[in-house]
Amino acid sequence: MEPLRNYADQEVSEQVKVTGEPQRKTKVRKRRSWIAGLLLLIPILLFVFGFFIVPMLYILYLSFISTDNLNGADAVYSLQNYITLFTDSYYLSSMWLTVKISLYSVLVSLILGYPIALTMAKSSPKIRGYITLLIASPLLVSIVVRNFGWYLLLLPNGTINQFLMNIGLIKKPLNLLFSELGVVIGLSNAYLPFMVLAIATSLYNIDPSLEKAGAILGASPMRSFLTITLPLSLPGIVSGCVLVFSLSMSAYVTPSLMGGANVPMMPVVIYDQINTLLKWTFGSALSYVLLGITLLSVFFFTRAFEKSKFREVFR
Amino acid sequence: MKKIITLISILFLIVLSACGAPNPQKAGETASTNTSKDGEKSITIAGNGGVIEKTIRDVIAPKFKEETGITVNYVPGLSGEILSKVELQKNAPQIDIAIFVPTDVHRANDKGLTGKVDEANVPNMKNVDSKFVAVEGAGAPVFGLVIAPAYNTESFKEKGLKPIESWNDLPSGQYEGRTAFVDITNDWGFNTLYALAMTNGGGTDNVEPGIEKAKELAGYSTTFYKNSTQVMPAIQQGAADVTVMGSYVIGDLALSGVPIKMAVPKEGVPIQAFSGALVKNAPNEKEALEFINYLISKESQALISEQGFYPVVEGLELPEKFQESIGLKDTDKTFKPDPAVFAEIRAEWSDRWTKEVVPEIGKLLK
Repeated sequence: MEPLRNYADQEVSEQVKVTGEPQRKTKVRKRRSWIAGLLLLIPILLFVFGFFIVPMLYILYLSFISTDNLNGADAVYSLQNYITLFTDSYYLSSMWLTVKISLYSVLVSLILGYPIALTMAKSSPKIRGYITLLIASPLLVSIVVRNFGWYLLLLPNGTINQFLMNIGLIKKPLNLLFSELGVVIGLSNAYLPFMVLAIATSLYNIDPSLEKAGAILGASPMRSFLTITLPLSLPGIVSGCVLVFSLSMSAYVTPSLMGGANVPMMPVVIYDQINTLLKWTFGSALSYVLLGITLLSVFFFTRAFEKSKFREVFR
Repeated sequence: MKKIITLISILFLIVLSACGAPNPQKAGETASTNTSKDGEKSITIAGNGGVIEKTIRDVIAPKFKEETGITVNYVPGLSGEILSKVELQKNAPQIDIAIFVPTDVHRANDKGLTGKVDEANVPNMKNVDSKFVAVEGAGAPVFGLVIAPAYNTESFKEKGLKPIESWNDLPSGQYEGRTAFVDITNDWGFNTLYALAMTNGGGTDNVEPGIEKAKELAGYSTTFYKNSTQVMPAIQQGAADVTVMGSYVIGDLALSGVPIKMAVPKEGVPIQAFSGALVKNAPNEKEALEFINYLISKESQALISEQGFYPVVEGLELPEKFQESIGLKDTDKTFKPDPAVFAEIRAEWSDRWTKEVVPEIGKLLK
């Protein structure tokens, strides 16, 4: 007698066969794409590991050696470098000066950069291209050359002071060089492109119909800007501020050339400790504190915006 | 999957091994010379940029290659920076000869970073004037100089100012802030502080009078330049009339048409030389010593003095074209600083300068 066939079971196993094959294929495809992604990432991972993580770990190791000897047998491990740093008012004031000047540079870049970014967003692609080229062109010139250019302009008998005196605005030269003002001018000039491009990218993504809708509902251009454009461009503003702040905190050439000894920003102090006094270990501790303060400032700044009433635009 | 992971691991290990430092050579072991495919030998020198680089690269190196077939590669940098590099490369040196200021010759020697240089392996050392030697046996003096005040002769004449006769003439309201002094991080700045200390009854063992005078100097200055290369444009542009710098720079500026003259204060000026130090376990020791010997030959020193450096070998004079601006008369007082002591006090003096002197900048300017 022919056994009864369980057609229901057969159907189920057929279904498994039919649906199981593509699932396996999808899995294999996913795995392959994951491996391909990993392979593509390997060069950058190696690069970051070899040229960033390893040197940074070495610098961290050095910062805990309290003698000037780098790798000698008499190296003493302690927190002495950090204690000196936090108990010496000179280094604390240098750190504060660095933060202050970086904040000023962010502010100046933002005030100068936002209108430019807004103009770019409202312009035709052709004009936008020209403005982008104009804004990015200083990046094509070495920062040393740019600083020497500023240096000659800002000298007491330089072009700017001569011009202001010739038109009778000032009687004696302004102290534009070797002051916090000079360094802020230099840093803002150097990092303005980063601010403009970050904000412009954010502005490009704003749906133009939102402003049109606002206008139809009776909002003035100013109100439309304050309630639509500005809040929606906040991610760009935050990115630009973070970029300019981080770059200013670690800037060496501009504070050194434009500030002289009068503006001892932390990177200049670190350079002097390591290259002039050969105090690698103390310089390393200074570097890590500078890095820590930069990271903390950036973290709290972005966090404050992400938790603010505008948090929706950051999602 | 396993194959891919194995492949990645192998690749990773290959790259890591390539990143590793080459095996250090043992002391005394004959180093292999950098030899290119066509058999050309080469050595690497690290030294100051500017006039020193130009002199070696354009004047000395081509003649040396012509005579020996050895190519000279030059890596520009400041003396302190080069010392940092040499120290970091201690186990696997990449530099054969480092050009140092006297204090750094001592510091390098003290840290065991220099090889022996004396009459035994560099025969021309016998002709060298001892006042230029920084540390016996550690490097050969090559580029002679004094660190001295200098002033704009035309500007001084116009304003009726008398030439600088003492280091104590430097802090003065008469110059109206038109000064360009470098910070203590630079050798010119450090020597200025020492000269101020010495002039006012102090010395290496007592910096107090120097610090007090330096505060006055800061008060009448708009800044202390962090980078010595900024001083030249300040003088050229007419933004500063008074400075302290190396004699070779003063000579160079004068030759380019700037109305500048070196002043030798009655207390004297420090005389010294940039020295060529053999880096310990240098990859091309034999060729490096040959080049050091060549640098202090009479022929090379004659060429070097044409660039504004005092010859370090006896029997040669500074060329006539530099006599007016930086020529030293027999009556001019010079002294030889002790680099060992300078190296010892450098950190403490620098610390006091940054904390006590720098904050006084510009306070006495109207």
